[in-house]
Amino acid sequence: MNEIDDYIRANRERYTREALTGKLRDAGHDPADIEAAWERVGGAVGGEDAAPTASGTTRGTRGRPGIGTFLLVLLVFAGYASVGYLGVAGILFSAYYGGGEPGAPVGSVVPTALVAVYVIAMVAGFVYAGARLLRAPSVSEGASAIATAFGVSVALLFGINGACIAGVLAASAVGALR
Amino acid sequence: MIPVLWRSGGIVVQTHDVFSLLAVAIGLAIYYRSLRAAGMLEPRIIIASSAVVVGGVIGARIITAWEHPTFYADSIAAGAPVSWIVEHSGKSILGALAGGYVAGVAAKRALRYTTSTADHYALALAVATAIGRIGCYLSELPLGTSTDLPWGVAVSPAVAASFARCPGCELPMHPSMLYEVLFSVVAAAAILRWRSRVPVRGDVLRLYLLAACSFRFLVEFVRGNQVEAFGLTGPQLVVIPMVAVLVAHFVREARARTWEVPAAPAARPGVGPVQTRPPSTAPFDPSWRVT
Repeated sequence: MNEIDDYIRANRERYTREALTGKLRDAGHDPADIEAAWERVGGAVGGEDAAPTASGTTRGTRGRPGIGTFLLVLLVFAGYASVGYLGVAGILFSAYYGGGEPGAPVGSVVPTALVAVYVIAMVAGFVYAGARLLRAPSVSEGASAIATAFGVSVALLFGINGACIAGVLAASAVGALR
Repeated sequence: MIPVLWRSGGIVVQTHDVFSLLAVAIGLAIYYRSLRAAGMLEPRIIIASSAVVVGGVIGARIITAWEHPTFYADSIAAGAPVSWIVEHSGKSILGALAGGYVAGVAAKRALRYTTSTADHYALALAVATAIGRIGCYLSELPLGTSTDLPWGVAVSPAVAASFARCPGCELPMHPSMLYEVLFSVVAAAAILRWRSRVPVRGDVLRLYLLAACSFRFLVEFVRGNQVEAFGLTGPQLVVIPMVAVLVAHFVREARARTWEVPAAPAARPGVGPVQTRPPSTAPFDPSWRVT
């Protein structure tokens, strides 16, 4: 069955399962053998960390996160969403009142660029924090590792916002936001 | 027109918001269901799709922010709460698509998830767009440019007066949002019927986006949006590069003959049940391919 496995491994990143299965059937392979090959190769599991196990099935080499990890990820998600929402509004507010007389229009390039940078940083921070949490073992296996991962996400959150606030204040001070 | 779905005391439930949330919820449900059927639903997908939603929401706001700076200035000067200002600022589905795409790619890269799940978004996007556009139709004016076609929709002067800007609202208008609903329904049906015939991962979504962007370009001519430059509206100017990128992708694939799936190694004699397999049971019909 190695030739079927090799064929699937070589092409599964680019082609759909249906397309490859169709080609294998056209070549005369038994549908049961094809399905078994997909199971072995792990066509349903994407990513670099999908690896075959001794039993022939696949799983993530880091293991499955527990419910505690999911709750923490949701908490981090809610935190980033709410802080990001307020952050965008805060930048626009600072752009309006910062560096000069209130009432100046906010349509300059600098506030837009600041918002874009802020949003990209927030999304990147959330993705990093989420990934870091998912790589940690479950709560039952290692509470300290989870706490560290969660702490990293909180530090990132404050770091991103601190950097943005400092940027807005500096831009306001030189009048770049007007 | 039903811009407000429910009002009680100080609580106002906007029709557009309800349909937007409904669209996101149903879209995600379709996406997760599709992934589960393919055996691909796992924690990293949840994270990546959350990033897509956040990126979509943010992108929808940012892409329209440059269009009305006076709105922000006037709202702040009037002392409006920041949350109200963000909630009532402009939003665009094109910005949502771009923001969601960027966030999704970034999330998957960070999570080291390499298999494309784009095709599982296609049906979800079509259905979600149809639901969202119903909300637009019920709560936004103008519906489109003026028309004397029999299906033109008119609104009462009282309703028209309740909108800050409503050019042409005194005449029957093209129900441009319903055109998009119709397109989305047809697109969803086409995806369900023919998606298995697309062999390259991600191309179902790309084909849908190409069709949706092209349709949006055309429907803008009866939409009633403000002309920005070269006689084109803002959304038209945005979709032109998007369509160009997608067309370039498919031209590149056609030149490289990417849609020709590599031949599989032949089954060794006596191993495969070639003679016993009825041809009609094959779930994937390869006859469309150019070989």
